[in-house]
Amino acid sequence: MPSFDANKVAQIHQHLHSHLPSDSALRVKALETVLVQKGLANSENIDRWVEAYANDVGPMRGAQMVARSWLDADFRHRLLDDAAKAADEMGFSGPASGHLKAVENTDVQHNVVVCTLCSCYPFSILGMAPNWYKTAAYRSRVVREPRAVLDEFGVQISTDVAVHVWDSTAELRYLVIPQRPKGTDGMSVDALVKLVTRNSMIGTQRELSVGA
Amino acid sequence: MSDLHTPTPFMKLDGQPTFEEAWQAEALAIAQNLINDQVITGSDWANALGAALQVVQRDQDNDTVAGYYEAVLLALEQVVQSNCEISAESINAQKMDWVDAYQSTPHGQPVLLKQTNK
Repeated sequence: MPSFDANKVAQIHQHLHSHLPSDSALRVKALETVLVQKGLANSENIDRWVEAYANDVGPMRGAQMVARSWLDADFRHRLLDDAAKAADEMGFSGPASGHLKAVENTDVQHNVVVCTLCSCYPFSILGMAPNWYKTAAYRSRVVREPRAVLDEFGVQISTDVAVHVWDSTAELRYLVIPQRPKGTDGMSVDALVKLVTRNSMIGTQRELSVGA
Repeated sequence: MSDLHTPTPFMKLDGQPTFEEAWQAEALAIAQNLINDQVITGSDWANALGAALQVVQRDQDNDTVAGYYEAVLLALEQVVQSNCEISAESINAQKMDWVDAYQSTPHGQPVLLKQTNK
């Protein structure tokens, strides 16, 4: 027999109109609130981080470092010697570049970066990690079969080129310096920056395109 | 929901948004701010996230953006409980306060916790 419970209907009505966030969103709000109440977090800093990394920071800083390294041999030496200092020098210091190592691709070596534990990544110079970087599939397979994984990115590495996989940690993150593409003599640093892709600085791209 | 499980080719995941929902960015922001403010170490975070990813991604169907951020949230709750003297009960109580605030706020008005509204 149908029944009508006015209180229940009112509750359902209010619930439908309350725009209650998802359980995950509520858990995050709760965490932020308790941390702020204990003086362990600051909502403005959290908002600022979201603003910066959800929208602004991309791989441009890394691209600028790479392009400069192609033009300035002294800078390249400093970059390879201490990448964190080189990032500082360019005004790009940040929490995830505090311990940064640059590794260079050569005719006989290709470098590719992973974090097998979680998703450590130099986001202050490369922006947020791409989604594939965080997958269990990438994190586990690129160590075991780097050439096969690179092949899935459309990158074929010839057998006379060694592939070195660098495993990032919270203490040490990596920046791959791709090789400067041929046909770029005389190009300005700004023009070169535009050739450098995020994936090339992770190592899942080897050849950079000039005519794009 | 983006499907990250099929890894061939990985390139199909390029260009997809890093965050599917705002809380995902907020959770990472909280974790990073805790590291910046030296409330936790980078290693605390990496270890907690690594452990949570192992649990969540044990099921290959969870090798997704949603699965990744599910692990981020689990790891954040774990490091907060372990390092900040904040219990699971107090986090849950705070969550229920937010539920009450949302459900008792009339449409179109800002949602505020009762204690902050006084």
